[in-house]
Amino acid sequence: MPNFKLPFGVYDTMPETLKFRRELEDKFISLFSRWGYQRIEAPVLSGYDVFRTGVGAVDPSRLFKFGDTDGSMLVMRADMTLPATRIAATKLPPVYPLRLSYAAPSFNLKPEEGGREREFHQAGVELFGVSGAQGDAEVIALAIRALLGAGLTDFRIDIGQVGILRGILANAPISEEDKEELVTLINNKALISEAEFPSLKGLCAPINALMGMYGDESVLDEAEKAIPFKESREALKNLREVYRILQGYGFSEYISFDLGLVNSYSYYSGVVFKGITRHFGAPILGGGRYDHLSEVFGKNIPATGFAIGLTHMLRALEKQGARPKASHADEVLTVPIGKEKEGFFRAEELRKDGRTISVFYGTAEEGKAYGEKIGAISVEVLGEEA
Amino acid sequence: MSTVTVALAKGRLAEKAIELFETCGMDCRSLKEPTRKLVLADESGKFQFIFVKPTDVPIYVENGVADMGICGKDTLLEEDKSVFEMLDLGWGKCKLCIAGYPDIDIDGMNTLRVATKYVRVAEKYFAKREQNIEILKLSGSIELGPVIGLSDVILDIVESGKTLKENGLVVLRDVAESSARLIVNKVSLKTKQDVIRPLVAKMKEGNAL
Repeated sequence: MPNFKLPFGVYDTMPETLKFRRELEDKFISLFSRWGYQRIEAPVLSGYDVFRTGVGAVDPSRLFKFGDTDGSMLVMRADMTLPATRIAATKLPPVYPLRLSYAAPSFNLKPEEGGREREFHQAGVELFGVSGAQGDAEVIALAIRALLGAGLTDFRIDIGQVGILRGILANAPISEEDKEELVTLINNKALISEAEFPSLKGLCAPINALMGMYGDESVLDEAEKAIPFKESREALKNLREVYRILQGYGFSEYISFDLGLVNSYSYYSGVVFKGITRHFGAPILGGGRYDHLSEVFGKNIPATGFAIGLTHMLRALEKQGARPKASHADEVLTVPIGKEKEGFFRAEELRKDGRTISVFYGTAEEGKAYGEKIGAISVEVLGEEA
Repeated sequence: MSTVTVALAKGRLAEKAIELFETCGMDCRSLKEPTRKLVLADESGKFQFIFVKPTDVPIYVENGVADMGICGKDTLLEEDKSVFEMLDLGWGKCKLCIAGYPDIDIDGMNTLRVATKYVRVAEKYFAKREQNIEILKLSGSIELGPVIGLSDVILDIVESGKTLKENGLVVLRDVAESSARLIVNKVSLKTKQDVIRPLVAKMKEGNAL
């Protein structure tokens, strides 16, 4: 027996949901473009090397892979940031700031965090060539505008800076393997001890303190007092500067801090952030500074950006009650068999006013029954128009 | 103010947890009455409790349908969910161990057969040591594995070691230590911080008593 069930983690999108999602995507893309972010597309398929080299390397167990005709390996893209960076570094003239945006699906063979989507839709931006706090502040401000524009209430952008942790770890001879484990624990605010990490002698206290530093801007002062390292202090200074700019824009009410927020330690190089809302149990948006990603392509372009998870966003809006009512095929025009020509021109005339007209071919009774079944607001029978 | 939902593992951990919540000033009378209800509220109505299978606590919390929960570290290691692990409550202490007959040479086996509930923990532990294993997933009476010849060793929690001893088995390796943990959803900690943060602080204090 053939099996027509979809593989796990991929879903069909029904007309109502798709309409809602596309409207949301269009809103984001048009906002991004008004801020100068030009939309790009990239192929879903990519050579393997792009996704296994440098700081952008993806855990191979998370990549969909195929053999190409010449025996080399093809993968499906794991995110849009890497293709965008490839395009910025190898295809576009090096004139900065360079602003790119996208709305597209990416793929994850073995999803772990939250939702079980293996094909996930994101809308996002990448800002290339602005290394200072202005760049981070711009993308965070744009993220706030995007969420406001989508009609989301009760959200905030939770900000951290990976340089704070980097400054602490610069003083410890910790192995790469231990570092990975350590970052997972820090991201989970699970306190660490010297018994687990002997190489962190004397550093567990500031790291544990860092995990507890979340909330309003007072945590920045707390960190200043608790963490003496030079690189950490520079990172804090940068974070304060980003906050100062955002305050100036009038956005402080949307900002909170979590200095224990690291996400991916090797990937991110500065400010990192997540968008969270009361209406959903996982982040709806994530981003940060990734100055070293372009090194994969032999360039050195500072960069920052974010991506909005569209499924999470839709669920949050739904939960908040902001999902518009379905409006499918508002009106049905019933055309008796043999009257196709008259029916066609009548429908065209009605559509001119921007109305949505679906044609039913058959008798008045059949047309009426069909209209009722699909929930059409009015049913007109050709030749009986009011 | 929105309600905070707490997921508790049915059984001993839940009893200890309710005691702790009472120390923190919560009126938990309704939770102690015998009932088959799976969702209960405290007297103030600010908190709602759901009672779930111990291994399911992390998934409720990760998805945010429960804002916080209490479960063993062994469950967290096995389920590997993205949640904040806020407090080590210290109770329910046990060890995850590899056990078997005393004469078995673990490293000398070509393919070691491991009976366990902790499939992910076992895979990770032996992958790190580059040892080939065959996992036999069981959901109870794990000790039977080596006794009846299903497996060479087991990977399981050991509290007193009594069951092992009575079956002639010994602890061969310690894998990890476990105790009850307070876990919190990564978004709820921030969006409901007015309720959750003071509660976590009180629980830390109350637990130390």
